[in-house]
Amino acid sequence: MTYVIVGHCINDTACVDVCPVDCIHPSPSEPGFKTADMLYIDPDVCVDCNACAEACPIDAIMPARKLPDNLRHYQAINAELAQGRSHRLKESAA
Amino acid sequence: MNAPSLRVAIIGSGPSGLYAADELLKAHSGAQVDMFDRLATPGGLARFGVSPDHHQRRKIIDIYERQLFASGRFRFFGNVEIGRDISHSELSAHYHGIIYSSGASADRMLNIPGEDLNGAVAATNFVAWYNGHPDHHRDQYDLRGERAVLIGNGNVALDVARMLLLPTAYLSKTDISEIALNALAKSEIKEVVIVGRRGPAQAAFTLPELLELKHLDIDIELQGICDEELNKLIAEASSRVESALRLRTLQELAKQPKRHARKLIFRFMHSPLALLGENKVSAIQLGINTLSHDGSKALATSETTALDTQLVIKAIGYRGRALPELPFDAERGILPNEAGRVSSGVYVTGWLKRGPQGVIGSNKMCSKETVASVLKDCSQGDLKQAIDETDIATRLSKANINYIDIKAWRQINKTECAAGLQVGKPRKKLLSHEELMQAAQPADAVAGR
Amino acid sequence: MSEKIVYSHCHYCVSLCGTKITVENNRVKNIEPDRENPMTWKDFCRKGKTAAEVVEHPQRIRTPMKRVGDRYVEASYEEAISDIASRLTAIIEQHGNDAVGTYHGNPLGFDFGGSLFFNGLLDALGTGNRFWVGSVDQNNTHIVQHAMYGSELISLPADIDECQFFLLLGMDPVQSKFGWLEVNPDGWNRVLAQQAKGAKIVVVDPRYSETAKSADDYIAIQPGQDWALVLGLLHVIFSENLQRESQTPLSGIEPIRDAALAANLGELADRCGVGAETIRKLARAFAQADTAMAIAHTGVGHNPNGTIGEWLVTVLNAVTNRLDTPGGRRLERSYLDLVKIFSSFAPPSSHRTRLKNLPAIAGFHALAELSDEILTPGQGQIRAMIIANGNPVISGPDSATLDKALGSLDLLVAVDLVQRDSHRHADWLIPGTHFLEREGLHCLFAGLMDKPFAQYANKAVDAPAGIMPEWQFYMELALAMGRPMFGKKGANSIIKASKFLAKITAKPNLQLNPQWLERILVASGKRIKYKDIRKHPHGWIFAEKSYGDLAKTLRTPDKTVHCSPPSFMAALQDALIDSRPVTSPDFPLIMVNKRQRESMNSWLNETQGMHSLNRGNTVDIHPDDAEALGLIDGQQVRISSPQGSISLPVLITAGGMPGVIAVGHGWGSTVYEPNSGKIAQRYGSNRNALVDRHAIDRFSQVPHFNSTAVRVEPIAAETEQASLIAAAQA
Repeated sequence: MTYVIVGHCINDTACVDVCPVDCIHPSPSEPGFKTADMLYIDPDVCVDCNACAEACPIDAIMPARKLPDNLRHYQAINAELAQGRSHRLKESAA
Repeated sequence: MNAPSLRVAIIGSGPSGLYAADELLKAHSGAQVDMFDRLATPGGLARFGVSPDHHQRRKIIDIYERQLFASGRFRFFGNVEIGRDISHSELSAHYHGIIYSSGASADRMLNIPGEDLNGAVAATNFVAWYNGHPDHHRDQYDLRGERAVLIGNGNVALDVARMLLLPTAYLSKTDISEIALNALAKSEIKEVVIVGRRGPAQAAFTLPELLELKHLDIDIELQGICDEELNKLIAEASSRVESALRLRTLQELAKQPKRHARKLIFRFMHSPLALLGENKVSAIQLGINTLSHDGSKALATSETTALDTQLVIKAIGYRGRALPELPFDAERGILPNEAGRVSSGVYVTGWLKRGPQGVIGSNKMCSKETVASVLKDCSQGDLKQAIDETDIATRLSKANINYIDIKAWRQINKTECAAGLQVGKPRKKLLSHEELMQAAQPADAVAGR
Repeated sequence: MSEKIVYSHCHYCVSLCGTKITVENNRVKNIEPDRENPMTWKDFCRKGKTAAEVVEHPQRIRTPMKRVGDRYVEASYEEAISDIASRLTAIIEQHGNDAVGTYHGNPLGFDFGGSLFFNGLLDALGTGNRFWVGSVDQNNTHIVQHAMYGSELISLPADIDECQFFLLLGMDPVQSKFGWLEVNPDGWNRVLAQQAKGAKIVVVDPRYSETAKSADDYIAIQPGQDWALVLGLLHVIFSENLQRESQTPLSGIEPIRDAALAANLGELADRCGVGAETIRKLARAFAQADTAMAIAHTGVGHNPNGTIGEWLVTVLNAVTNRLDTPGGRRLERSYLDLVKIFSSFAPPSSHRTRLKNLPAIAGFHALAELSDEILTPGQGQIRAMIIANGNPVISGPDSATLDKALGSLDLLVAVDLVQRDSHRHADWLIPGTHFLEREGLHCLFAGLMDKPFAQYANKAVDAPAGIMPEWQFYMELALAMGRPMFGKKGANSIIKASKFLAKITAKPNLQLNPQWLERILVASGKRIKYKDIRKHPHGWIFAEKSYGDLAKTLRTPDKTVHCSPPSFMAALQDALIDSRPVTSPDFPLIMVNKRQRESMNSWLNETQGMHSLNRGNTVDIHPDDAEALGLIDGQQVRISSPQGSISLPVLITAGGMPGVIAVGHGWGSTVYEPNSGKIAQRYGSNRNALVDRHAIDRFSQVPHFNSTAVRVEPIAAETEQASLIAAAQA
């Protein structure tokens, strides 16, 4: 499935530090980090290892299957933000 | 590991101070950190800025403070004000370095006529009031009008709007100040207008704050922009997904059916020109703007309009204040610094270093940079070699300063949480300095014994 | 040189995740999961990601180092081998073969070539005093497998994708990835996928772990009492006639059935702290599920009666037809018959330890006995040790005594990547290699896979110049001592001839090396070809999984699964009448262990990429116990047992059994700088210092890591800071 970062994310980046597949963006070294509203997980890369959920100091990450109804929309939002990033990377590589 | 000791004082226990302490303790195995705060409670804006209905974010204080304490090389001294209880130079004598992380709590001025009328309020104060800041528990706000006007297109305005518009029953389950809750229960405000100089594409509201409006019992209206223009902006945003999402969310909010008792209006493209009234605000005069071609500037037109209101809250940002014995950049409201170094042995982090912007987590990288500067100076031998080895705790006790140590704070914490548990809140905050000091009393909680 | 991509698999833990390694100029630039690996990559974690940090560890030993005074100086392999060979020879001549002892740790188990040649050296030395890490890990399982299936090496991986009911005892797959003596790639997520389709997960654990949080039912249990719970389940199953006909032939059901029926459910419930009604419901649900499995990992095993617990879990599976059936535990035949090979290639050792007269398990003795075998004078006393890729002072019980013992030896040789606690008295430090610098087919893991799978691990980088691979070092040492490698007459001549051939033809591969042996092993299985395995760099699922091979593989004389081994039955009777508590007024709490995904036993806690997360070294304590002791979260406390004490910060953790604290293993492990003798890295405190080396499971000799009685006391505030600064500066 995937894990999802939800709205009360404060951009702490403890999750970025522990992710073994670098699927959380933007990382502090990536463009857009300073102005990002929240961090997001790329669902195509996530391996569901739970490390980010354990690391988040405010429990703002959970597996998609555990999303409560009022936060479910964040799954699509993480996916859309990730897609936007992939798009941008492809365009700049082209 | 043969590391020489490095004693550092950190002034201010908000997120930037907590991150700095964490980074320092991790990076240097001999580092010892003493953290000071003017207030009895740690957390800074995480306790007094983050809004009550965003309670999950406050957890960062618990985690970091717990971790710092668990290192065994960290102490907290609450209720100690540098400048009042002990001066900067007196404190410095005991430490190899001092890091100022005392933030920015003053408000920015609109500099328009009528700004000093009753009913013209700074959000910095209003937020502190509803968050139970002990300096504000005697604040009084007139909530009798039907409309409140908020100036500023950022999350603080949204926070204030929610506090004014959410049902009391909902707010009563948060850690909102009991005094504020009672006042809001008597509020007659039914409409909040958030006024912004520029358009929705330039607004600083963040995506999660906009998204949550979808689930609240508040009607949303957009003014100063039509749907067609909004579609155009969304199309232009396209590859900037976050921007596109924000705009789409605003659009969806406006399209939701109107069925609630209370309303939030986003009025774009308007600037405040003057507050009107005798002694107290009765209306606000607004100028209508257009946008410069690149969107970066609001351009005044000759058109104006006015809104009746008895409460105008400006949420246009915070400002840092000068500190005794330290240099100050009055324009930016910061301590002048290079990568956090003010001078050898004196450092700054957080809003007092880079200005009041960013979210809680933004302070982490900021503090890492500052700590790197501290460590660099340390390894290059630029910090003072000899310090006064007297324990600061002893010195403060001798001066009869009733400091709150971590155990006393946990006692306060326990009291607030237990009281909250009884009424279905995460905590019931103690609102006055006296009550806080009283709660710290039991057992050997108050240090100095 | 430009960038190249190497496909291989990680060798830190038994998840064996497929890896895609980017290499430039003999340096690893990046490691990511190999998403083209058909079997395993989804458990990829930070250990694998940061593996290159270990390759470039600042304190890495790059040449043999000889102890001079209290420092080490660089030396050549020639000098090392010559010196070690002559000293070992002298010791053997004076005191006999058993005077040379060996210990190897987990990482050697992951180096197949290294293990083969290490064993070859041990056979050359002819010593019976071989000790290993399995004795603080999986010995229980070997014992149960031997007693019930006739061979220590018959393991049954879980068949997750067909399972409707998971009964998980003493395991934390969110951390362990379901990997322990079985390779179940993405195992935990597949269990969750089954749950989403209606399968039930029941987690039995004294701790309310991350895994427990996802369970349909979490059952808090008293540590070390899983045997009582499972006996209770059997009681209900037999009383209500819920057992099923087993497809794998069973024998000896009657004795255990009688014992289960005779047991009093209420008493068993009291013992384990689980309500009798809960036991009844669980028994019925487990037995009545179409497909089900019961699995016990170290949470069950590392206790008094741990082996009994694992045995009863296997009986539970046996009598409900979960052995070698879909959704149960299945035998993977794989490409070679390991059991057959190893019983002839490495016949079981009949050697017994001098002092406690205990047998070898899977060929090795228990770490718990090592200190005494070194320290106690007499014929057969160990006077020399070779430690290969292990840090037994941290991994094993009673660290202080083992450290003292190692310091008293006439000769200590340590083979490892860095110098650690157990090597601080070493006379010789011999460089180790990292798996990124090795290649090979790990035949021992073949039967642990949950599908028929084989992958040849390709080498990513060359080891630093001058480092001899461990397998070669062991071989050269045997040659230098003139003792026959593998204990086989003529082996050395073959080896010497192959070396000569390699030299004169300038073809190094003609010299005997691990790949020779791998080829022979694959060929012996007659199922797939070695060269075909090599053609699948991403790994190869070479067949469909099948059921029913267990019946043909059993090595019991009557080819049945023995459900009531007499020694276990006797031990069960003892356990039933034993009502001695683990705790005492002085030591009223029970300390259990916990695993952390990002560390691997006693190493990797200090790797830069991992240790920034060193939040893991805490005492996890129940809120009730914390309240009773007046503790606040993060406070430093002293944890004491009769063996010693350590100090750690507290983490108040809701859920789980009160009276139980959890402290993870592997911390407190040191890395030394051999040139200066200084401590380069050490994080946290070692909880095994509190564990008694004499309290071991009678069958498996595993210490009671999960049942250590302790006392927790707050440390006075004034001494807190001082002691921690002192510790940091030590």
